[in-house]
Amino acid sequence: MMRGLLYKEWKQNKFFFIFIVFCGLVAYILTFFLKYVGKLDGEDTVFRFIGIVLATMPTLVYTEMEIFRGDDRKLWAYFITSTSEGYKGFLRIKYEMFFAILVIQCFSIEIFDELYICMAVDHGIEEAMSLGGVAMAIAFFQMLLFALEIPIFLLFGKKKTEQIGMIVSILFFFIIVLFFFLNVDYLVNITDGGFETFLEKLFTEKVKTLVMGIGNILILCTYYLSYKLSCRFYLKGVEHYDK
Amino acid sequence: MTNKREKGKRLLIYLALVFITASTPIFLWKPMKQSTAFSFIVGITWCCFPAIANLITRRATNEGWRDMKLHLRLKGNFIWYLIAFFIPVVAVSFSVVLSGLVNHERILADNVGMSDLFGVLLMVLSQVVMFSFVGVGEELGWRAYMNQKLELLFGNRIACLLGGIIWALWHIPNDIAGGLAGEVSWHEVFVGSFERSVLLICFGVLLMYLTNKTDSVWPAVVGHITYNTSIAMSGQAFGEANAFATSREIHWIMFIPFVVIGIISFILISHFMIWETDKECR
Repeated sequence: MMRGLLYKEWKQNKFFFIFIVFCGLVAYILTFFLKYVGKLDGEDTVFRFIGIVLATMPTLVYTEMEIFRGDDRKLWAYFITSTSEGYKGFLRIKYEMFFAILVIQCFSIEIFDELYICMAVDHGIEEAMSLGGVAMAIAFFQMLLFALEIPIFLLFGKKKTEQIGMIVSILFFFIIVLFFFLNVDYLVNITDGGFETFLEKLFTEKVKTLVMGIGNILILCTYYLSYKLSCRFYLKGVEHYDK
Repeated sequence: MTNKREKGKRLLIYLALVFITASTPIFLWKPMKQSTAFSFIVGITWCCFPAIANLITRRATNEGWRDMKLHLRLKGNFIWYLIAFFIPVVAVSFSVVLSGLVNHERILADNVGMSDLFGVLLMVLSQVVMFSFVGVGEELGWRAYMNQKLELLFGNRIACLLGGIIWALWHIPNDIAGGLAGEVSWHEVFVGSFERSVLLICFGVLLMYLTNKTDSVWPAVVGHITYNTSIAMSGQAFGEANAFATSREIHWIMFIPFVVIGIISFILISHFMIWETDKECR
């Protein structure tokens, strides 16, 4: 049964999985376009950072739109509940699959990032900064979003989750804007001192390790709890689904 | 053809493939020396050769894809995943501490506190979770394929030692390439290869035990990646002067934790596994 569910996911999302394997390459193609085709001025690290963020966007969109595509139907929900693995097995596959996607995404970005650094060294640029940590931070952030969103999606259905997501995004955006307006001087320092200095100021080496370590472990625990919550909400949420 | 001969043939094909491909750094040391990017690509591919050899052997001998040991088997085995994570961390830490004690050096650098150690431990854990995929390249070949065959042919005890020796031998072409490129002296190549062989033989027994115990390759993958990450981050945890790779003035003292782990795992494999098999038969 498990193998069957995996097969279903592969068939439904084949192209997305292939994209994830090469998303590290996509990040660097985007970097190239931004820098050379877009002819934008700036540090290489900034373009690489933007490239990585853009290349990881589809994973975020995938979780919002695609991961339960075709599965949010009453008939399917009742069918999957009646199987030997039950809805718990079905949800476990979804959680394991998304986790695997994040791991492959991280790995892909790390490989192409290291390759970029090696090529930079070959061309005499010794100070190229590794952005593997950024890939990991993004992956954990995406894991947190997934962990928060899926139980809400399963309990309230797609429409309400989108509405809640919209409100939260607006609030988040508002807080960010407010934060920057209250720290205009700091923002000027950031743009003057360069992106690397900004990162160094934001996370000193001492704080970074501890905060990121604790944060990452908390996110992993949240992910597990989210699975447990999803299992609890699944049958309640089914009543909101279309036939 | 008997079952044993068939297994032996498969093992020989696997080993031939894995050693032929592993020797590529010896032939490619010149371009590798000229280009860091090329060296990186060869290095990454080199790490995947055992897994690739496993797949090719299975395909070529019509063995099929069963018993790849890719199932996580988390239920009831979570404790073994924790052991796979903590043992390499503890072993590497003990190695650094022992080295510091013998050399009468400060174990923790001035600017390193307990919060840093805790932070590094958590970072290692999160990195292991996200980058465990990297270890599949080696473990899918060694623990999930070669050790299975060795166990059937020679029994648990010999498989432990022979598996460790083969694993250690497989790393040597890379060292030789370093010697040919002049990055390290030949003396360092020999001493380094010998030291790593001792570590790998001992550590390989633990990984084999974990694989047998859980019937999954993932605890071994976690153990392998934790070992690599712990070594890489030992400098951040204990200060650069005490890093595993740099504080090696007395080599043998750093092996003690790994030798202890190897001996305990060997005893567990040779007695506990047999006892469990007997219990199942009864």
